[in-house]
Amino acid sequence: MNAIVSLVHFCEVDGPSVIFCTQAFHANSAEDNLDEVSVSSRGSSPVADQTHSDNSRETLSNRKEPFVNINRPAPASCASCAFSLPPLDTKPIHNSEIKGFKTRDEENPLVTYKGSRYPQDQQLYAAVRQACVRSLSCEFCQGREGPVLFGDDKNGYVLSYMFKIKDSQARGFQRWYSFIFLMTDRVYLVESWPFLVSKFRILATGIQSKANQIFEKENAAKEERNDGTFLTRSGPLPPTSPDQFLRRRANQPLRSLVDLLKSKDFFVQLHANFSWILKACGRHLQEKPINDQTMFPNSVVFSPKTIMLLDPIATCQSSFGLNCLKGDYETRIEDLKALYNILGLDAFRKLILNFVKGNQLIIRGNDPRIVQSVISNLKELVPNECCSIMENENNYQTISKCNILGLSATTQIPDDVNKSTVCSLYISQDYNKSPKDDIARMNTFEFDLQYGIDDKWIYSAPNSFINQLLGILKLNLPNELMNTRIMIFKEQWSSKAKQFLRFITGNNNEGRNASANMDLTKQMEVIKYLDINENDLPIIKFWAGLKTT
Amino acid sequence: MSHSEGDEYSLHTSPIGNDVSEDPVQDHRPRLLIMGLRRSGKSSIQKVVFHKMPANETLFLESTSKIIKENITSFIDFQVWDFPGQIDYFDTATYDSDVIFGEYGALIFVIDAQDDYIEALNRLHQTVLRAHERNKNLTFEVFIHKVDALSDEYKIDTQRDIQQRTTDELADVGLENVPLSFYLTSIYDHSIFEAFSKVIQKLIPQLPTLENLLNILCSNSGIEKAFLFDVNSKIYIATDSSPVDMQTYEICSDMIDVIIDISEIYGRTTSFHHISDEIYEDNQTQVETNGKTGNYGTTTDTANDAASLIKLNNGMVLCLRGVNRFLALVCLLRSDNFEKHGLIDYNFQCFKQAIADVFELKRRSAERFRHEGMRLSVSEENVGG
Ligand SMILES: Nc1nc2c(ncn2[C@@H]2O[C@H](COP(=O)(O)OP(=O)(O)O)[C@@H](O)[C@H]2O)c(=O)[nH]1
Ligand SMILES: [Mg+2]
Repeated sequence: MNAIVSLVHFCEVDGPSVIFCTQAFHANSAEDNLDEVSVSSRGSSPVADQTHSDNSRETLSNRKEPFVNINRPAPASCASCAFSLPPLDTKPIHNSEIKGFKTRDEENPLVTYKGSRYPQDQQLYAAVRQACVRSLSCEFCQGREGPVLFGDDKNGYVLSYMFKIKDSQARGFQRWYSFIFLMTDRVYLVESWPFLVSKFRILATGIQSKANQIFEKENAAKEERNDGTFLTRSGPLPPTSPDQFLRRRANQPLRSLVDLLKSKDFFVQLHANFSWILKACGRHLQEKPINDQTMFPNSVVFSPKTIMLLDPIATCQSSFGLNCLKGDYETRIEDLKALYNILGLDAFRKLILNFVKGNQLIIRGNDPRIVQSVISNLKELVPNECCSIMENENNYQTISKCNILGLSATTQIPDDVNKSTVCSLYISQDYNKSPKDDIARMNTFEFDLQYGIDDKWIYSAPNSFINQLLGILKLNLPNELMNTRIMIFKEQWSSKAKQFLRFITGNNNEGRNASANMDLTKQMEVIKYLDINENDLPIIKFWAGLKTT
Repeated sequence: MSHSEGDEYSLHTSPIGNDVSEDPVQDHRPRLLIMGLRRSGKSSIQKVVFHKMPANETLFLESTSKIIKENITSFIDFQVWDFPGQIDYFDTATYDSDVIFGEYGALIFVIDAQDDYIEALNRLHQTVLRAHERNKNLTFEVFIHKVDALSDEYKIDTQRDIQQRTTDELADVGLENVPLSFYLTSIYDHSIFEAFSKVIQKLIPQLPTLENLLNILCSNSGIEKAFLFDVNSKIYIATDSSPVDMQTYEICSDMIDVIIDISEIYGRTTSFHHISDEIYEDNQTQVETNGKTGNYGTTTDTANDAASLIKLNNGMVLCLRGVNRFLALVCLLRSDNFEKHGLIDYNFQCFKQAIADVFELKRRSAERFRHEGMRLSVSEENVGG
């Protein structure tokens, strides 16, 4: 995401002026010189032209302002738009003046955030400057304070959040500021509007309330001074008119924000906030279709099942989801609901739980088509990367090779396999009982479920995953809709797993093996936030690719 | 004059909606562009003249960050644009200066006379140069402002100096033919209203006719001085050709205030209110309204019936008559001339009728113009199709 955040101000002396900008740089696109000023921003600025890399490397000092007002003083000279740093403990390495900050992204070492008065790229500078002028002196927002969105393809799109702050020395006792978020992608910008506006509003009200307090204090002090000294004034004569008095001050620029708010690290904090906004906004926007698959693979239009529906025989499809193709005996289990109907609540629950928490399923049967259909139904329940399938094997394969194994009916499971990590389902259909109706057809199935996790674990406490799944299956939905619903359900859970993973890896940099040492109370907090149950933890961990032991 | 709320507009073409009639830049009323350095008093002028803001309150005006555009609806419709002093609107990369300066109207440049005005003069020269480049028909008015703190002598010197430097400068770049007018103004007295009156008079094509009518009225009724006022702003849009002396202007302008105040207090409930009691003012002026006081502040139709008479203790009579919704005639005459006030009333009726005719003519021609414009665009379409 290429964006730049900045704070701009309508300065009493200079008019609209840029005070501070923060920009994200990616290590592969920006060279990382020690000297802040000479850092080229090619490739990583919203409007930077990839082709003219070297001419864009210009330093702050020798750049000419593209927008020169008649007789306007140089922008750097004005105190009210100055940006300054808190006094440093250590002396800067360079004897030159410090021009900005650099923040490294702890989670992503490739990214740095740089804060400075202006962006270094010439073209980007022009775009920011334009956005600044336009947002402060042209755009109008309902109630004057608040967000507006404007822009074009040439200069990028801008969200500008305008606000005013109190200053007892300013004309009309107020000064105008705006936060500007500039990027090339209009759609992104519009999508992140609620996020950006809420963050900007928080920042703005923070500054405003601080300024208000100081304003009140200064006003009170001024009144006191007037009362006390009015009669006993000595020294130079008082100014003859209030305007003269104001004018005397008017030729000096107003205080900078650091002085006005009496907060030395104002810009450090601002930079931190801007960096966070850039980061969060980027993360927020870069969401992609999960698992690199299209959201709905069994989309209504292309699903083979839809085509089957056109087949006259397919109309015999029952509410149990058993579908007969080409004659009575070509039977398969069409969907999860059918499987549920065959297995019944307890067996179904056990099978599914074993599967989604990472145990191996061994499916056997007298008809490979049935085995196949069971497998294809089950695999829809977990993310692709959590599922490796061997459909038709004659020998047992370990869980490291596959977690769904279609095994021939006679093969034995070796004794040395830990029986609590596998769950075996034998399912068969008796073709001799020729079914008269759907219920009868369902009754032609027989099954046997063995091994797997302790029943106690299954029933001891509520498990949101299985409960939600059962809730969905109980809905009386048409097939296509049911598939879609289950798909969405899976996406929801895999996003929970991702958030969990992000939280864990975000907290300690050792990465995936960290989950074990992660303290439990923290995990419980995340669980609460993710709206899941303690019993779902193994599922989430499995889905997130974390080893469970 | 009634004012639409102070609006701020973007000068960038709006991305949505190309609603032409709503767009202020497409609006072809004459424009008064108030420019000048920051803190020179532009917003104060606009507030005092068109919003009746007391001069002292302008101390608390905040600095202007956008062009504030205001529609003034009166005997003529025009716009007042208050500019922020910090921004260069000739910068073609950011602003469409042809749109801003392209319209018929006047550019008022305000200079703070209490300050060092060298920078202001530089800006003035640049502004005249570039605005003239874009629109040859723009008239330039220079307000040497805030002269209230200056002695009379110093005022004259300042004006001479500014005038001299400006004409020299413009002659250097070959613009000696661009007409510039200079005024000494302050919001603390009537000078700002007088200056504004003169600026607006230049925008009224009927001015010679109006002046003629006033001359005829004055000579036939024994009137010393007559002003045709715009009631709400106290700008006079025409006067007879005898010289304007400041005191006369002030007292006439004050009379409008008196009438507005009284009608605001007593004229609200009934449009015809009889004030039978005699009202004495501080300066021993006897106020005598002969029965009909219209409600001025809000432009009601009864305003045309308003009439008021004030006898001054120096033997003069101030006489006010409503002319139409926006205008009032205020004249000063000797009380012995006022003996024949039947004649004056008659003359006044004729005058009123004539004014009505003048503006009716203007209205009709405007309508015709509009029709023609429409027909023109229709036929253009035909050609195009
Ligand atoms: N003494 C004096 N002060 C004035 C006059 N007109 C304006 N001011 C003061 O000048 C200051 C700036 O006025 P403002 O209208 O905001 O300036 P702008 O930036 O040009 O719009 C205010 O404090 C006004 O009170 C004037 O005629 N005389
Ligand atoms: Mg102003």
